[in-house]
Amino acid sequence: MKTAIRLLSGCCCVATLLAWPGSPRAQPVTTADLLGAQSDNAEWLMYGRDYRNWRYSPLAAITPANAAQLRPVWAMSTGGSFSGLEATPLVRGGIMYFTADYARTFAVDARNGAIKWRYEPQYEDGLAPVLCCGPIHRGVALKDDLVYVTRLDAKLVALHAADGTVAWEQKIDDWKAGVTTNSAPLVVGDHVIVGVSGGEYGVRGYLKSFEAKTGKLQWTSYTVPAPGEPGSETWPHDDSWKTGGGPTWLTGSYDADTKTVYWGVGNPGSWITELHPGDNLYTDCMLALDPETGKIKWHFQYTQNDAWDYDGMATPILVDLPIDGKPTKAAIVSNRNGFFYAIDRVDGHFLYAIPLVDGINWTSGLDPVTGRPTVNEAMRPKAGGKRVEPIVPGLEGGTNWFAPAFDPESGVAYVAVNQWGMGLTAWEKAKLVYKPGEPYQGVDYQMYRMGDTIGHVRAIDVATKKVLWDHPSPLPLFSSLLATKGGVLFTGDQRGRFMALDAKSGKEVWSFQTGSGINASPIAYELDGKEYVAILSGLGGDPSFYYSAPKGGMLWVFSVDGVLAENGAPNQIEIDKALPVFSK
Amino acid sequence: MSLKRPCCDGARRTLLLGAAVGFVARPVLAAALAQDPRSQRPQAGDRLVYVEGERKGASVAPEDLPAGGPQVLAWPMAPDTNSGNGVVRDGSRGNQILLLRLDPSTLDADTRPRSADGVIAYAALCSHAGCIVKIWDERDALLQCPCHNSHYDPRKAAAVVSGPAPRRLAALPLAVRDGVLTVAAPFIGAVGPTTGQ
Repeated sequence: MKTAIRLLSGCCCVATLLAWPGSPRAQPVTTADLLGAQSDNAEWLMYGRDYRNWRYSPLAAITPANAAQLRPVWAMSTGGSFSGLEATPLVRGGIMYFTADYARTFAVDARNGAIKWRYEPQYEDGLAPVLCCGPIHRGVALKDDLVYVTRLDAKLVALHAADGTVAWEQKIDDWKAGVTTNSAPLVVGDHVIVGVSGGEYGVRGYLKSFEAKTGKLQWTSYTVPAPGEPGSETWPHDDSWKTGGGPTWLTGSYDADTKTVYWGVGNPGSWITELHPGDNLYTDCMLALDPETGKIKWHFQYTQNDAWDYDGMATPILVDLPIDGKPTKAAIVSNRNGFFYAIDRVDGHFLYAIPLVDGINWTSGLDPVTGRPTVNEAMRPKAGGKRVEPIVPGLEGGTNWFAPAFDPESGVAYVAVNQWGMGLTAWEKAKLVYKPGEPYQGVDYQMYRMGDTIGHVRAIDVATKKVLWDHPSPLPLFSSLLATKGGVLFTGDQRGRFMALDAKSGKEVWSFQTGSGINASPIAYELDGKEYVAILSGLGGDPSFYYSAPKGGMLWVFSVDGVLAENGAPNQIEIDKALPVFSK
Repeated sequence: MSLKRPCCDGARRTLLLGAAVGFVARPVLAAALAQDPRSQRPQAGDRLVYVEGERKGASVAPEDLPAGGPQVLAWPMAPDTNSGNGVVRDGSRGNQILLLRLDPSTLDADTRPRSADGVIAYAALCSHAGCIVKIWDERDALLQCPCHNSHYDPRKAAAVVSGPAPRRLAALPLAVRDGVLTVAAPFIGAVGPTTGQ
């Protein structure tokens, strides 16, 4: 079945190139295309490249031997207010689809950056204060002839891939109550599954599924149970579940064999844990769900009664390999709480965890069988009590939203981690009052550097649990990894350097200064037999809270021996409109 | 249309004049709408009224404010000579003001002239992402934004002490008239974040 799909996808790609040698036209994306995304070598059809979220490109033209010859091929500015770029671009039919800040959506010719269309959402006043982490956006999803975009104001919009016009728009929630959306949806069959942000604003988290063609709401699956629902016994008998948090702010994964969606859940609303004693399911959990109904099949909880903002939202990466000598279907996750987890994705039992960073002190260790942490209660601030510091990792996490990459041939996962800590003071309970749309955390915090370097790229052999190499970076790393069959790993740093590392050794083999901090996710794609890598560059989001540096908004594309091409006036249409040639 | 040409019959002149007025009227109307008193920034002579709480809408007097903090949120209110109470300028988030009563001798050379009976006023909108700076850091006597932890020093023209805010809060000079606080002059400095939406 899988082989047939692979052949079909290959045929379709070739046919496209022959039939449309000029400006590319939007090509519909089928369910079969999405299921076979990993084998579609030339394109990048979804957030994590395929449903397993490997971020591994089968392209091999770029190697450690020739990476030093990577040169820019084209570049474009994303314009707007340069408030931070965090997206993973998609490539389909020679067109690149991506979002900039404010969910401003672009469709550009992947050969030269010529803009085919743009979608510029208009927002009401007052949106910025309900965005915890800047007006950033992480990308779109494709299905049929539609491009699905979550707007920051909690609306899902479906755009016609051909021209960017709105096919339909659905309200997800009331943004004034603090629910916002900025992640790429996950499309499974006819389900467009969307997660929400707003954990800092005391929302009650959930996933929603919308019908792909019409936008009709199919189901809502809450991550915090109401009284009487399964898991409600882990909350006190009061109203804290209504502001329970548990946001679902990254994209999930899908195992087509078992028809299971996997999704990460964030931390509880209010960091004053005395307000909600108990394990607080399903905050800080990996959930396995049925995409047809949203029903939760099982959960694994990383951190119970979380006081430290250790969101468990990270996208599970689905891998099949031997662990402890046994062939295992696993889900691996690099977690904010400082650990790298391997979880059995059939029934959710704990396989193992290793520390991603040094000096973790909120826990004295995880139970070897269940993975449950033994909390070091001295690291839990008391309401109205003294500041606790340093707590390692800090609230920004031993790692954060930016995605690891997994190489299925070597069985190695590549993770960006940060070595930092924090001081945390919990307010008097009475000082924290819930008001919809206002922050509901109840803490003062201070992030600290714990040494001279902060960021590290680390390679982890998933089967042997060994860290193979470490590549340090002076500033925090906030960019995803891209692994390639050619043996080159790509990521960006806060200094603006887009880097290629030798995947075997971690040594840098190339870098390019893009002009602003890189917080986005690189992709690889192929056109006319040539391999390209692309990255968005623009400081924003959480890193911009800790230091000021030039903002930016560029998309850069590179290839080996690339030549910076003349775009041929990509904005000719706009020039003609505003400055027509005079004629009597 | 030449203004020099002797005009025509009466009807056409009216039509022409009407057209002239019509041509001018739209930009004037637009300007008038922009000057909707509810959205206008605080003007000299405005009073200050409570945003919330038991005394919502009532004028704030210096002695109403706790000495040494915390801050209290207020809207400017346009004076109305007839009833004594005018339009509350609550049509824009950027009009929210924080009032704080401190010892005048602790205020710096920029801030003291703007104060009245020890009360100082700043735009409540944080210059980072526009959240309301409603927290009082008692330990360090600083204004604190709950969203991303920016801290401002109220004695030093709300200069940023820590956090991601790029700029001090806009200052609002105050006076006391008839026992209540009034605005002495418009905002000094930009209100809220300057880029984005």
